[in-house]
Amino acid sequence: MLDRRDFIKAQAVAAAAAAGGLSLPAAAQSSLVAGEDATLKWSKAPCRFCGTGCGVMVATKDNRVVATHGDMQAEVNRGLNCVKGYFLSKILYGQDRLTQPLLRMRDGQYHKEGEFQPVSWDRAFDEMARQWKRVIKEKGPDAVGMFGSGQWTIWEGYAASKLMRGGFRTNNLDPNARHCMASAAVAFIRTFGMDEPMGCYDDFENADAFVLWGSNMAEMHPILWTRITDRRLAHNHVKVAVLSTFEHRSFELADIPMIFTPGTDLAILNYIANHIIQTGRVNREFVEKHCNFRLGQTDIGYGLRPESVLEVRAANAKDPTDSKPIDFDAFAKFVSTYTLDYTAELTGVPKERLEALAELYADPKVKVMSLWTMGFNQHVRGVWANHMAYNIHLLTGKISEPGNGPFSLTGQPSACGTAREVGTFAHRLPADMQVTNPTHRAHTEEAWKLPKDLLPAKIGYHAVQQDRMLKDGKLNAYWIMVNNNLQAAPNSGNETYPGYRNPDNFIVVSDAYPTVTASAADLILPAAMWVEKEGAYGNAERRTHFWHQLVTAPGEARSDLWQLMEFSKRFTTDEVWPAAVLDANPSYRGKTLFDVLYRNGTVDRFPVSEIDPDYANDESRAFGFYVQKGLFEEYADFGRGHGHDLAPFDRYHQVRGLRWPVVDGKETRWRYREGHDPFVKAGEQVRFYGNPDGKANVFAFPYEPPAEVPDREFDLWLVTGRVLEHWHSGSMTMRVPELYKAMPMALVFMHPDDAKARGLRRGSEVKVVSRRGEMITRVETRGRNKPPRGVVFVPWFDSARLINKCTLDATDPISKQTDFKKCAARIVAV
Amino acid sequence: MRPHHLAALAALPFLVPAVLSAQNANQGGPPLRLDSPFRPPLNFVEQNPAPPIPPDVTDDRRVARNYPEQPPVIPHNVRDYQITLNNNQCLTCHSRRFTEAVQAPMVSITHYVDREGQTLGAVSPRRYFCMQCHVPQTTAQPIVPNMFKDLDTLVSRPSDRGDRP
Amino acid sequence: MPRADIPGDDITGAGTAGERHLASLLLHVRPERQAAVRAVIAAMPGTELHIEQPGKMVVTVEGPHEGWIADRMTALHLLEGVFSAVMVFHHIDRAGAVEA
Repeated sequence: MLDRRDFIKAQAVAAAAAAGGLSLPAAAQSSLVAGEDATLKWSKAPCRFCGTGCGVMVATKDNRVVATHGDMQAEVNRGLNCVKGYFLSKILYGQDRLTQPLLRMRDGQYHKEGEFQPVSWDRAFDEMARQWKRVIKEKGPDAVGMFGSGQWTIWEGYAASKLMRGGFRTNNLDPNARHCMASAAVAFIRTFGMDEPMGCYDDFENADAFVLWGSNMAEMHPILWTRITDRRLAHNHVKVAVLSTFEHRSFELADIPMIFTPGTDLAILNYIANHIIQTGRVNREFVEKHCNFRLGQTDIGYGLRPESVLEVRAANAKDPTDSKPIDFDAFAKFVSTYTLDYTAELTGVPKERLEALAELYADPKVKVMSLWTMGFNQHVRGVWANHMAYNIHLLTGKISEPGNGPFSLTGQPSACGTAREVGTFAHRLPADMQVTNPTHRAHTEEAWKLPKDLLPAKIGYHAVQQDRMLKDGKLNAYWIMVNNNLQAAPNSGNETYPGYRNPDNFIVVSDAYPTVTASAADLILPAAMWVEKEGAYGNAERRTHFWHQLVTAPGEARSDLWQLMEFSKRFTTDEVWPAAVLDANPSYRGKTLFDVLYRNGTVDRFPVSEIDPDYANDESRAFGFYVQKGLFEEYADFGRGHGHDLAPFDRYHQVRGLRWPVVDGKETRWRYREGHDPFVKAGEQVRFYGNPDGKANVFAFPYEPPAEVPDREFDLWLVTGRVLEHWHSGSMTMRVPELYKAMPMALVFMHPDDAKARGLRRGSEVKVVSRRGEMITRVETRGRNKPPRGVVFVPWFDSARLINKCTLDATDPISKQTDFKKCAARIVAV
Repeated sequence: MRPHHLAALAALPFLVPAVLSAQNANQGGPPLRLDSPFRPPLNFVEQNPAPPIPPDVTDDRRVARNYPEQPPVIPHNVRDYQITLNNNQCLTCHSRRFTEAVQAPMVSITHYVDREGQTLGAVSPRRYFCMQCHVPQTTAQPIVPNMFKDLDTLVSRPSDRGDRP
Repeated sequence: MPRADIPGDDITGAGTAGERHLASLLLHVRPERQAAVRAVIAAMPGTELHIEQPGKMVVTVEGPHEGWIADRMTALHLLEGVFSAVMVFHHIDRAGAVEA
């Protein structure tokens, strides 16, 4: 007979065996999974969702993902995931996965107003190529375009850039990262001459203070929030300041909480600069050696359509990027108007909190990390806000060293890796190069083995402009990949949807699921997702990380990489390149775009035999060479030796990612600082080597008001954003039952007194109405978000309640990124 | 004291595998092909009335995990739970010293390990905000079924299905 | 860190006199590393290997407090070739009180 201890132990063993599907040695095993059946294969991958870039371990069995958990060996998250990450296993298995191409048809032919019918890939690409050729012939290359993604793998974005710029000869390629990161990327280049943060996540364990500028990391970057929480709770001297236009979960950890009037963060930033100067805490030596000062252009408009009264009235809407050199004294004078009194009055923030915040920056003993995402970036003065944050770090020299640094977080898994580093923006080439620069184009033509003067110099349409041009009939053949822009784009009812349904246009959507965007397309292409393909992402701390293909995509779904490359076979150079270029380079005649872009001797130089035999690779088997390796190595050559150095391809399959520049096998944690960054020479201490003089730019900008403010008719600020449980438009997370049930619909979060004043209460059915459109939802007055009076918050994950019908398509005039955080609306009972 | 935790006690970790399979009992067939690939609302233009806000599930019955590593969902009401710098209301039932009195499941000891892999004497601060991983559930029914199969379902023979305790 | 800083929790690392903790762990292991992992388990006080098949092991850990158990779990998790070590069952025996 078992004694009690043995009995409990037997229970323990049985429970573990059952959970793991192992057979028990004894008799009672009839219901348990046994033997070979229970063998799992575990492999590493990055999480599919945000820009944090957590590592996960993925278990597969019989060509299916059966479990996932946080990777203990991943530096980013050390075994933790947020609730979305823990449910990654289920995102592949929504019942409505797209498994075959669907074309709008009537009487057996494509018809704009037809019903979706399944077709073969051949039929789909035939129709698509016919439309592309028609448009290019009738209107030229700038009538075709593509809207890509910070969720593309690195090689997908790179292959797309080659196809659009080198193949079709247009820069009408922009990623959804335009909605997300453009302000940050532009400000990085204007300040440091190079994109992306100087510091890294190791700053979390080294800082004494954290300042969240409009960011709600507790919900949007939960794993980085665990690192801040860890630091704050374990060290009593550490302070956390949280700034936002409404109270949210990150306030739970705040020592200095701050609710400010929308748009006035600009004034707070200038006040801090003024406080640093007035209290004599400028790091004079650092500023003299490492900074230039510039006065920026003001009154630059709001990125609306040019005929809008706000654009006509703005003095400098046509040249928003101008600036001129000034000196420190002029800068000091400029910010001197941002006094404590003025700033408190304008922002609505109590003076003692403003002072406490300013002291975190001014006190030379406090190492401070500033963090921001959409609060700054989705801002009609987003580039300015980014600059102003750099200003206060540069004035104090609190930059490029452990614990001290401005840190721009990212929202997508490869916003950095793909959208920015690869250069999928309408103005960019790989490694921070620009399409308008003839030297950069020539270098790219050489690296791509393309004829001289082939690449187009004109900046393409950015995201919002693409929608406007589709509506206006100037962009007519359009391919949308890995994003759900009809749900994401601002003022979508007036500016996005009409372009998709414009009879002149042919719209193609590649996605894994039937999204709102897919429903408005003419052709839907089923996509492989996440571990159904070999991939690489780059996270917010410059970490490049890889994964293998672990399972097969369902049905006829194919990766975006396969789609791009296979489609390129349907065009010959004679059909899409100018005669003059071909006359001067006759050897390119008659070749397909596939031949000249991907069969170019570089991309196809690695045989399939180099693929790890433990893993499948469907694209490489289809094309006959190791496509991912060839594309990566051709791309990586752009940055090697220039401070964007990437390690050899195979190394990334062995490690949990590496932070570039990777020089002599070693990653770089703090750029621009001697001893940390191999590109800074001995004795230089700090060198911002992205700029020719090695100095960073401090810009003077004023506070300017938002494009639209509440008035009598539309009396509330409407702020949009995300929630913890859903990622972006919810096309993946709304198909995970646990996440759906946790947060099933987008509610309007409002102050109970604002509700009461309108005869509403929690649960009331209401319309959110703006000058542009409306959506129907219910009131939440007790939820996790607690707006002050006069502000409402609505998340955008819910495809049944599209808040972007209400938002305003005003953008930062410099970055062209939409301000999704500020417009005017009213709430009325249904 | 939270007496409603008593129901949870009946389902000690023991039951995990059993419920795990029950939850997925009707899965395993080929995915259904919908007539239209689109779920409601069917298109961009359509505007649906908003359904009532669904109530939270508060039956205190533990929900089986899809795999051992998944954080369990919260089967009780957490509205207005305070988690602040000074107070974590979740730990007032789920921390070790209170679990006997209220019979709530104790925080997994994985939560005692810090970022460096060292075991602490208390819950690691990095695990402080419980609801980053553990979420309550409403009674809302997902519009799209999910065809994920747990390991048990995947490897069991057809004759096993439904026979398990 | 100052452990008492965690509001709502207490200092448990020292253990309470008379307590016994028993946990079972499920390990996923690279099959070719299984022999090495087996050797580590055999040498680790308080741990016992119960079931094993290619890629998986069920291990029990017994000790005076949860820190003891977590330490062993972490040590096992960090072994080369161990993909995961998940606790499935945890029982606290308090001097005679029966609660399983």
